[in-house]
Amino acid sequence: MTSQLLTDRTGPSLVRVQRRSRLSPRAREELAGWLWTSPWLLGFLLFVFGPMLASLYLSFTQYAVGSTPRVIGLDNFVRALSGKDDLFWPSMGRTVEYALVMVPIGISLSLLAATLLNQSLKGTAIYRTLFFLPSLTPVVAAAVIWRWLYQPDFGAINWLLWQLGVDEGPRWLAKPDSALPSLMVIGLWTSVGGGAMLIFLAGLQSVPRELHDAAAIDGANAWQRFRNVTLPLITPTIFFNLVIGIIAALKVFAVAVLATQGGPNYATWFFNLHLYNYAFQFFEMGYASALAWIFFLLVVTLTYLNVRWSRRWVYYEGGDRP
Amino acid sequence: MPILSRRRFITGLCLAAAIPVLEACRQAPPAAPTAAVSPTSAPTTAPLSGATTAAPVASKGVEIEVATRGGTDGDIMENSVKTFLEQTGIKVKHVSYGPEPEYWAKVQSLNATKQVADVIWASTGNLHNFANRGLLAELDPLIRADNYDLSDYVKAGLDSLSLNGKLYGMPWGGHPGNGGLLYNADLLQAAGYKVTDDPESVSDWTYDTLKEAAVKATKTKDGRPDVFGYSPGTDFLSLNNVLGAYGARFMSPDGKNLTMDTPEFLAAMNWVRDIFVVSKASPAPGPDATATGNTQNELFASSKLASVLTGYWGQFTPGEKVIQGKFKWNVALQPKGPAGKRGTALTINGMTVSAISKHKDEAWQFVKWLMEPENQVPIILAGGSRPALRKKVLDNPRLMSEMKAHKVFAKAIVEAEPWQMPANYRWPEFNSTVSQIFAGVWAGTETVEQALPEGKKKLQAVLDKPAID
Repeated sequence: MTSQLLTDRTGPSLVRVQRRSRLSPRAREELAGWLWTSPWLLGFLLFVFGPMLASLYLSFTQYAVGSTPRVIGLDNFVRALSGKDDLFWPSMGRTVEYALVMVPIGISLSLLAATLLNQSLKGTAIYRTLFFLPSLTPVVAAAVIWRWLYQPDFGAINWLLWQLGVDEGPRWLAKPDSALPSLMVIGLWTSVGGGAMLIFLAGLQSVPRELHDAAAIDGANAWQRFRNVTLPLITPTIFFNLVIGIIAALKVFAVAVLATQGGPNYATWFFNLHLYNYAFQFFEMGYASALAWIFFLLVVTLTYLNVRWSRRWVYYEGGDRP
Repeated sequence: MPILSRRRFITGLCLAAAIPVLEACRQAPPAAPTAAVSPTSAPTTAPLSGATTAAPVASKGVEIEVATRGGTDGDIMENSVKTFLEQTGIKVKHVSYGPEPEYWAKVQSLNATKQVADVIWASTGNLHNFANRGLLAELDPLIRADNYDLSDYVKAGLDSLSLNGKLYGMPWGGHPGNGGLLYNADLLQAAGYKVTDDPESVSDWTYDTLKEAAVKATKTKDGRPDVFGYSPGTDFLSLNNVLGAYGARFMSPDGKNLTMDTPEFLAAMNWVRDIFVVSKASPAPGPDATATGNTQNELFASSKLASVLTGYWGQFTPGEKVIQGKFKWNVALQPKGPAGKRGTALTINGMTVSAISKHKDEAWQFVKWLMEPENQVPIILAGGSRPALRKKVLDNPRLMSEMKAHKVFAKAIVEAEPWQMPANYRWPEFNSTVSQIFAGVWAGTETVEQALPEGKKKLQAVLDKPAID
């Protein structure tokens, strides 16, 4: 607040006189709000939105970093979608296949784990920590560990199978037909006990106890209470995990780079790996930008459809819907 | 209505954000021509291929940058720049751009923003692409201005770093690709071969001998694999040596067409497949099944692998520090093949000068200094590099006597063929495709003949693409 000190000629006392501000209180408040958020906004504009716009422009160009972009219209998009890039559709299909398996299994197992850990049993805190540990393992370490576990000749998994009487275990990551399922197991190991489980746990703990008690008095067994009381009340949590899970599954990248490098024979050549290789290995940044925008539109579309679909099955106690 | 609307605020913020962006994108003023490239400039006073480079007076106080991919190369460079400063008064700052392949993206990005280092580490895989796109300075004018004598250098090394007859890099660390055979003498002796830790003891081996030894050294215990005889590599660099030994190559010398239809190509590829699928003398293939793979090194160090494809670095990795005298070992060359040669091709870590460097003279002084035997030899002895491709380094008495297998590689380097590159410089893409398309062959799900039609289609598609520009 701006003020000015004036000396009263008639006496020694000081009279505080407020100067009229050009801004109304509301405008001043609004300005303060904007100023407080401006560091984030500036960062967003410079480092997220700006590069996004740049990549949108580059997607219409032929461009290798350092060279002058040459506008080629929709050629990059045509190249991708027409199948001229013979790895575009296979990598997209493989990524969708990965997501189709990972999302339902991942969410179901996370919910199961959360439900088990929501029981008032002795040592629950320890179990929760143990379940959460794999998700804290850096992906590099996880990939190295699993690569050794999967090693067909000396790995622990085939050794265990041999102990159980299997003479020759699967070749896991070394064979095209088993590489993708093997990667899915690594993905589940790192994700089931992670953030999704914690969010489910929070959701389960918010279910009012009295509803369960009322259902129990009415004769509902444990499964019926879970099916008819718990599940409807945690549908917002399921919806959230579903959206995040789909996006995370479609973004699969690091584990494939580290464990298989997209092989063998492109069996784990996911879309983001395809994009990454074009950008950073093959130096076709313009085409890679087009791939990134196709991927972005796919994710946005799926998320939009998810939100629309959620109106049919997600129950909000307060009645608010996204 | 608020005085400061959301729209106005964001517009203002956008404008504020745009200023530094525009400033960053502004074309930098052209660099002043350096003395070396100026036709009227006098040559520098550097001695001919001298041991210690006396820096020109004008260089005092100048600071240049050298970029490496970090790791061992970075450690070497940190030490080198200190010694260089002491000897010449030119300050060189070492910057690590991180491991490959991100290293290459960073070089390009920093070049685009005029911030790239003056001296750039560049290996044969991407050097030609960068030279073709004008990122690297032609070294010939600097060499001429300096009266620098190249007669000591291995011609194939200089040829490998040249494009259209112009030299773009000095062969700082050269080796005959993945053409070495790291072997456990004890395990091969147990398999019935008179092998010692002297590489000469396997110098007369053929590919048939190697396969036979691999089979004999492969052992099982209680029905489970216990020891494997040999681990070949399945990437381009590894396969290229076997192909060369059989008189085959992936592509024509001009890098425009595939040459994979020959009987020699099939024979070489089937030799590798037999090791994996028929003889089962190798651990399972995988993304790590390269001559630099950690899995192979760990199996070798734990006596689970009698021999493994390697390169010059096989003298240090896994190395005696890990093996700790548990068995006798050394590195020999891969055998000669039916073509009567080893088929090795040079692979080189070059030292280049950025085309936009404002201190090309000083950068050249540093590159030249790095190539000197007295600066190279201690680094190699410490296990940190490959030798410069020049006779004074390759024939250095200390390297010959103190290194486990330098003498073996020195001979192979001189015999090796120049680096082969697709005409469009898309080697990384070609290499990636090779690693993928034959994976089913090594896994035993298809034969070489079955994999070839689709494989050739994919590889030729890479060769048919335009050059990156």
